[in-house]
Amino acid sequence: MTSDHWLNTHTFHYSDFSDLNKLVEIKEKKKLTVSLCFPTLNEEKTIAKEIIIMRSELVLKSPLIDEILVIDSGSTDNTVPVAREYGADVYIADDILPELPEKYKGKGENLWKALYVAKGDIIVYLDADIKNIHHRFAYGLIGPLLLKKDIKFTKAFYDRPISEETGVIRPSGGGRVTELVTRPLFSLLYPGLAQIIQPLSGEYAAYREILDRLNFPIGYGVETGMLLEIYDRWGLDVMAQVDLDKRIHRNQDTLALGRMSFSILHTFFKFAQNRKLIALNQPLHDRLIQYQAADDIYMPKTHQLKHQVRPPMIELETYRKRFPKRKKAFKAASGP
Amino acid sequence: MKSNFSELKQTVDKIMSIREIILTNVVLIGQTPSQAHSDESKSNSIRSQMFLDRLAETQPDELTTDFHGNPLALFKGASARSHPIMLVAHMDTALGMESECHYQVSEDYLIGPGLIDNSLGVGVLISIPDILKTLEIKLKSDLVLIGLPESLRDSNLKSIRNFLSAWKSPVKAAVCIEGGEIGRLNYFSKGMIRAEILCDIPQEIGYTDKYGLNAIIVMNEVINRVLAIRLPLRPQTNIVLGEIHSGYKHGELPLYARLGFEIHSDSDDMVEDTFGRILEISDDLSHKFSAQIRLRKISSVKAAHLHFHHPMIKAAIRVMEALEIKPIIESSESELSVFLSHRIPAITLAIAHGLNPQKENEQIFIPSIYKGIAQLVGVIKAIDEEGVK
Repeated sequence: MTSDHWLNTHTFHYSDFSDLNKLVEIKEKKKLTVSLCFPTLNEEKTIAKEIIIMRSELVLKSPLIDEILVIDSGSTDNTVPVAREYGADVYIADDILPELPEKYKGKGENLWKALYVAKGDIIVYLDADIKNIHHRFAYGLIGPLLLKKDIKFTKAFYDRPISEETGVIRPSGGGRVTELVTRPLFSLLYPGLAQIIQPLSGEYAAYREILDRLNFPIGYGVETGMLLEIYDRWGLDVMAQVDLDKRIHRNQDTLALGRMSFSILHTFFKFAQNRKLIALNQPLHDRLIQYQAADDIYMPKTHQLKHQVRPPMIELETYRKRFPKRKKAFKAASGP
Repeated sequence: MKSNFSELKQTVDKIMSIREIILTNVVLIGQTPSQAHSDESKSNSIRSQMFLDRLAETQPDELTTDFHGNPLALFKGASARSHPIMLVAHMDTALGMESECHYQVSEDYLIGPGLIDNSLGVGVLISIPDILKTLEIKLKSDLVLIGLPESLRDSNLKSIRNFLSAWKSPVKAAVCIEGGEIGRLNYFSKGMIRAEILCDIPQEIGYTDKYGLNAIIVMNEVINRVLAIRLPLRPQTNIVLGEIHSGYKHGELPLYARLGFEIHSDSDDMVEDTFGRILEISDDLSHKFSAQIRLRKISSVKAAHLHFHHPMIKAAIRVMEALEIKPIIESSESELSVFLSHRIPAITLAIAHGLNPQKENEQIFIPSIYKGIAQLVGVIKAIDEEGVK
C-alpha cells in the first residue's frame, strides 16, 4: 500500500457518521460499551459544557456513550465539583491504583489510569479545553470504529488539507509543534505516519484491546508515543483520521510549546532507539533550559521534565482481575 | 380556567431531569451567530438553520421555513377541532452577534452574550417537545413553535408581522418567550414610536474649528427641550431616552451625535402628538444652531391589551403563585403587541433570573430556569385544557 492510498482510504469526515441511530444500533448489536474520558487540570471554564452536551446528545437522546469519566490531576479550581454536579464519574488520578509506588502528574498518566477505571470496550479521549464542543467530536471518532471492520484507532483533525471544490492546496492546519517537530521527525523514520494531519490532536478513540497493550508516556509525549507504537505493532491500516471541522481551544505560548516539543523529541528518540532505528551514544538529558529577557539580563529557567513511561495496562494483574470477562483477549495479547 | 396547579412544583424536578438537553439547546443556539453576513438575508441565518436542525430531532409533524424566512415546527394535538397554540421567541440579539461566541457553564450560571435577550428564550422554545414528552403531556391543541429572526431595532417586529399576515386560520392563544427576568408578565402594549435624532455639524472642507459648534452641546440642548415637553398623566405618556452616541476622541470636536428614544402612551394619538412636538424641536434647533438635526422614525406599534380579568392572565397569575414567582406586570412593545393587534390573546413570559443584561458577560442563574419552564408549561396546559374564552 502506498502512503497516499492510506490517506485516501482512511480519512473521513464526521458527517459520514452522523446517523446516530445507526451507530447505536450497531453498538448494541455488537454488544459493545463506550466510555468517554476527559483528562483535566483546572478546566472549570469548559468542562461543564463538554459534559452537558455529551450527556444530552450521546447519553440521553442517542445512547451511544455509556459512561463519562473525568480523570483529574489535582485541579485547584472548581473543575472537580462542577464535573460532579453535571453527572460525570470523577476520579482523582492519584487515587487510582494507589498501590503503585510512583505517582506521576501528566496527561498521559490520566489517560493510562482511565483505562483502569473505565468499563467500556471503546475508550474515547477528548481534551477538556474545547470551547466549541459539539457531540460530533465524540461520534465522529466512534463512527469508524463501529462501521469500519479493520479500524481500531481513530484520531481527530480539524481542517481539510485540500479544498474539494477548487483543488487549491492550503496549509493542513497542523499546529506549530506538529509542523516544526513531529511531522519532520515522522518523515525521517516513519514516513507513513506523516500522513496523519494532526498527530498531536488530543482527541482520539480506540478499542480497549489496542490501548491496554500500549506504553503510555506520562507527559506531552503520549500522543506521539501512542501513534508510534500502534504503527509499529499493527500498522497504519488499523488507524483512521476524522475531520471534525473547527476546534477552538486555549492557545499556548512559545515557551510552553518548547516544553511540549522537548517531550515529543524525547519520546521519539527513545522509541527509535528501542527499535534500533537509531543509536544514541549517551543518555538523553531530561532538563530543558529556556531563557527569558529581563532588562539587560537573560534569565535561564530550567524545567525538569519527567519522561517516565507507564507499561501496558494489561501487564498489571489488578487490571486483568478487574476485567475477568476479557480473559480471552488478555490471553491472546500475551501470546506470541 | 380551572386547571389544577398543585402538581406544578413536582414538574420542576422532572424538568430538571433533562437539564442537559435544555442547557445544550441554549448553548448551541446561543453560540450560533444570530445575524447573517451581509450577502445573505437574515432569515437564512445559521441560527435559523440550527433552530430547524434541533427541532428535526424531535420529529414534528411539520417542519419548515415560511415564505418570510421564519423557521417553525408544528406538533399536532389530539383534537382536530382545537385551534393552535403558538409559542414564539425572537432569535436576534441587541448585541448583533455576527460571529460565533462561546458560552461558559459553571455550577450555577450560564455565562455569555445574548443569553437573557434571547438565547435562553429560543433554547427553551426548541426544548418544548422534549419537555412535554418528559412530563407526559399530550395537548389537545396543535402546538406551533416559531423562531423570529428579525424583531429588534430597525427590523420593527418584521418577522412576526409577516408571519401573522400570512396565517389565515384562527389561533387559540400565543405565548412570547423571553430569557429574563422571571416573573415578567406582559399582557398589554402601549402605543409606541421608536425614533432617533441625528445631529450633524456641517464643516468647511479641510478645516475644523477646534472650539466651534459641538454636536454634544447641540444634542444636550435637544435633550433639555425634549425633557421640557409637558406630558399628561392620563393617558399616561412617557419619553424614554435610551441610547446616545457621539464623539471619538477626548480633545476632538464631535461633529455627529445620535440620540435614540421611545415614546410610550396608552393613547396612540398622544404618541403621534408627542412625536410631532419633538419634530418641531428638531426643526427649531436646526435653524438656531445652523446644524442638520433630523428626526427618524424607526418603528412603531399601536396600543393593545388584554383585560386583567382575561382567563389567560388569571391562569398565568395562578401558575406563578403556585410556583412562588412574583409577577412583574409592565407593558411590552414587542411581538406581544402584534398578536394583540391581530386580536389573538397573548402574553409574554420570561424564564429565568439573569445578571449583566446586554453585556458580553450576561449570566443566567441555572436553578431558576426549571421553575421558569414549569411556569410556561402550566400556562400552556391551562390554555389547552380550559381555553381562553
